[in-house]
Amino acid sequence: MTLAASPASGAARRALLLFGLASALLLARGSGAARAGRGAQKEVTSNAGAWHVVYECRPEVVPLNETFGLAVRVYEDAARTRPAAGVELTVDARMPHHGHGMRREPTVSRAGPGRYEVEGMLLHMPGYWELYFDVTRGAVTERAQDALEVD
Amino acid sequence: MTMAVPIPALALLALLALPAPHARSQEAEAPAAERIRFFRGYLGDLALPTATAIAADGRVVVTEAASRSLAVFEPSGRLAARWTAAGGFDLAAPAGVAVGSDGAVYVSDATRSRVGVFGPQGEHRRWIGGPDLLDAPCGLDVAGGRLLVADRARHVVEEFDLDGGHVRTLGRPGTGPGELMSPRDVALGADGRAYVADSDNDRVQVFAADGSPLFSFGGFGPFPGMFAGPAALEARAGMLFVADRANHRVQVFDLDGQPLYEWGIHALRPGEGEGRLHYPSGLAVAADGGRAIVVEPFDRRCQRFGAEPNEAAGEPMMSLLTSIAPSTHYGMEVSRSGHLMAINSPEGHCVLVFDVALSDPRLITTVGARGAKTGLFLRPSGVFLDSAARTLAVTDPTLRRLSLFALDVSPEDEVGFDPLMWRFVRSLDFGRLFDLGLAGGLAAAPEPGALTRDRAGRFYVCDRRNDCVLVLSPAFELVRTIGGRGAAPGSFRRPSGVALDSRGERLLVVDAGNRRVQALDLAGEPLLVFATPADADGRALDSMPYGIAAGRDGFAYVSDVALDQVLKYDERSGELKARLGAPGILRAQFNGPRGVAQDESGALTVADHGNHRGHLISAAGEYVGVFGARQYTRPARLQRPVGEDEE
Repeated sequence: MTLAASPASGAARRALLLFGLASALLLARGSGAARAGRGAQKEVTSNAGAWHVVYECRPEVVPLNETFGLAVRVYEDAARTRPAAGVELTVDARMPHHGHGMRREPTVSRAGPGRYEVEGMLLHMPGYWELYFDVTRGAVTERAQDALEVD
Repeated sequence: MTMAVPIPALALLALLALPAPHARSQEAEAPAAERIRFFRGYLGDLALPTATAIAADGRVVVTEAASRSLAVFEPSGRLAARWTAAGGFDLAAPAGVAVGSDGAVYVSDATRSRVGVFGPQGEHRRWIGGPDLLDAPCGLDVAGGRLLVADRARHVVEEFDLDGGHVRTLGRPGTGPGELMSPRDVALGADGRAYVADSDNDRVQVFAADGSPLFSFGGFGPFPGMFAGPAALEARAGMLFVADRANHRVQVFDLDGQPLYEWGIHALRPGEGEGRLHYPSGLAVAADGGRAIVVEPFDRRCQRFGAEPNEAAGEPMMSLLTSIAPSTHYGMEVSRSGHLMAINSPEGHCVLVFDVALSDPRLITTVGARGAKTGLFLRPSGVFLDSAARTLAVTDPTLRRLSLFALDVSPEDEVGFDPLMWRFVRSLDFGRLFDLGLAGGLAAAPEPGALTRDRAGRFYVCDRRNDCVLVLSPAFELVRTIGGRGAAPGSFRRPSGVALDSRGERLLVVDAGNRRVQALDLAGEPLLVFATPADADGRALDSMPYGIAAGRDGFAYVSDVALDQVLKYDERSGELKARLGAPGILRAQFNGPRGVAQDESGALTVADHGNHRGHLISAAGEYVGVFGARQYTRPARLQRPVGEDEE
């Protein structure tokens, strides 16, 4: 598995598919791009900017067609000083080129203020996947997302 | 499953030569003598037929939405009578019909929330239901002293006795066992079971005689036993017949939900019939299960089918061609902004985004897919594009959701299809808003439809469930509601279109249930009602306004499903200035036009839904272009009638 910046322009995404991670990192642009964190941590900003999501895959390299988990933290600020309160988190993944998602529903459990443990993720096909973190407060849901390539 | 029986070769050849509907292995269990497979003729010249029933004496009744009437046909197919308002058939929106064993005719009125009971000659007897018990009654059935009525708006089936006393409610809104989403019809079996066409859940729900849920079958898909918007059903002769609307066929099951056989395929050419079907929406089957009437509103007709060939017509006319893939049609809604156009695809459960900078619109991405999860759709409805902000807003009344997407595209980009061009940004869940008590005192969870946006970024969203317009802040907070149920000025019934005028001061609302267009100020005060189209003698025409575009050139353009035209109004005075287009398949002709949008140049894009295409015309009604399914665009491109366009 490789992690790529997201969201990227249409042109950059096409390049990602053609040339892989190195090209994608060079071409990636746009707001909310993934930011390298400590170790295997990744940070993405939600698509309207309300939430900052830090996540870590367990194991670090996502296995093909085997279950894996995520440790997720949701913040209300980019400085990561205010864990999100009063929100629900839903996690999903899809292959947009193929028009389908995962064949199972992962479980999300709260592990502390703004902290979540996700179990039961399974990416059953190699290729380009998008990872979705849907944060809901009240009746409004906003998405943070990242792209990943599964080998 | 029955054992295969050896068949002599000649007999096998004879069977293969039969132009029967698609035979499948399961068909061996159906009694062959009773299988319906032959086209036998039409019941024609109907004003948007919606439903049908066969009486015990063989007469056929058909409800007509456009003229608000009921046509009565003799068993031979000859029109015997037409019941109209002048004769006491006073219904605003006849949507379903059933005939009792005593010949009484029960007709649902989706706008006035009641069921009319009429004698065999059309004399009015009584009303059943009313706004306290029904909202949008559609399909119904009567048997054994029970009257069951499917209510599309409340997502339940109501049971009455024949005096109108309310007995019980079957089902509740939802997607789980025993739950219904937009039920369109109900059929009573001989054992007292109720079979419900659970349309938005793409299944049939079965309830016991006491109203308790038993089981369901179906699911979305094109294969045998699956559905795409089941719209009507009948339980006859130990079989269940289901009009599988968006799969363009009728499926037949045993009463436990096992598929037996099917007939009908999608029309291959515009208006084609003779056994081919186009959105079958109503169904009646004779008591012996060997004769059926299928209603096709877009083609203004009913087709008659039987178990025996039509001797007068010579050879039976069913096609051997088959297709298991559901077709993709354009519409109901369309939006234009800059170099982009968005049009929803009801069967595709997505929104198609086109680049229109070139001479022909070019599909550049499809937003969403079928599903209930965030960012997906079950019934994509209203669309609003903003090419400058690169956003697309989409409503889904089934999921009760407004979703906002970002489009990563600019006019400078190379034009090409990119499935990664869009991202889901955020959504508002109106069901949750209602459950949290944040829906401003509305009576039910809103079901959002058509929408527009003002210069301040506020959204105006039609809510057909609460008969109002919802005003939302750019952050998706409910600011206020405009309107409410009723026929008085400033009230609505099933609003289907909304636009702002050129100054951004007036809200123009297509009040579909009341068959009018209203102008209101932004506080919701009614200002005027647009003129009703009339003929040369001043008589009001059977008009059914649906979509609206305004705010560009001082005119409002309203699509009319009954007239198959676009009505051009002065947006300030409401005066009807012109009727653009005509019914048909050629240039500047429409079949069931729905959404309409206007671009910066003044040109109009019309979701020509029944013709499976988008249609571009000038503000004066001149043909500009068409796009969509080749079979349906060729007649306009070549300007030749259907049948003369073959190379």
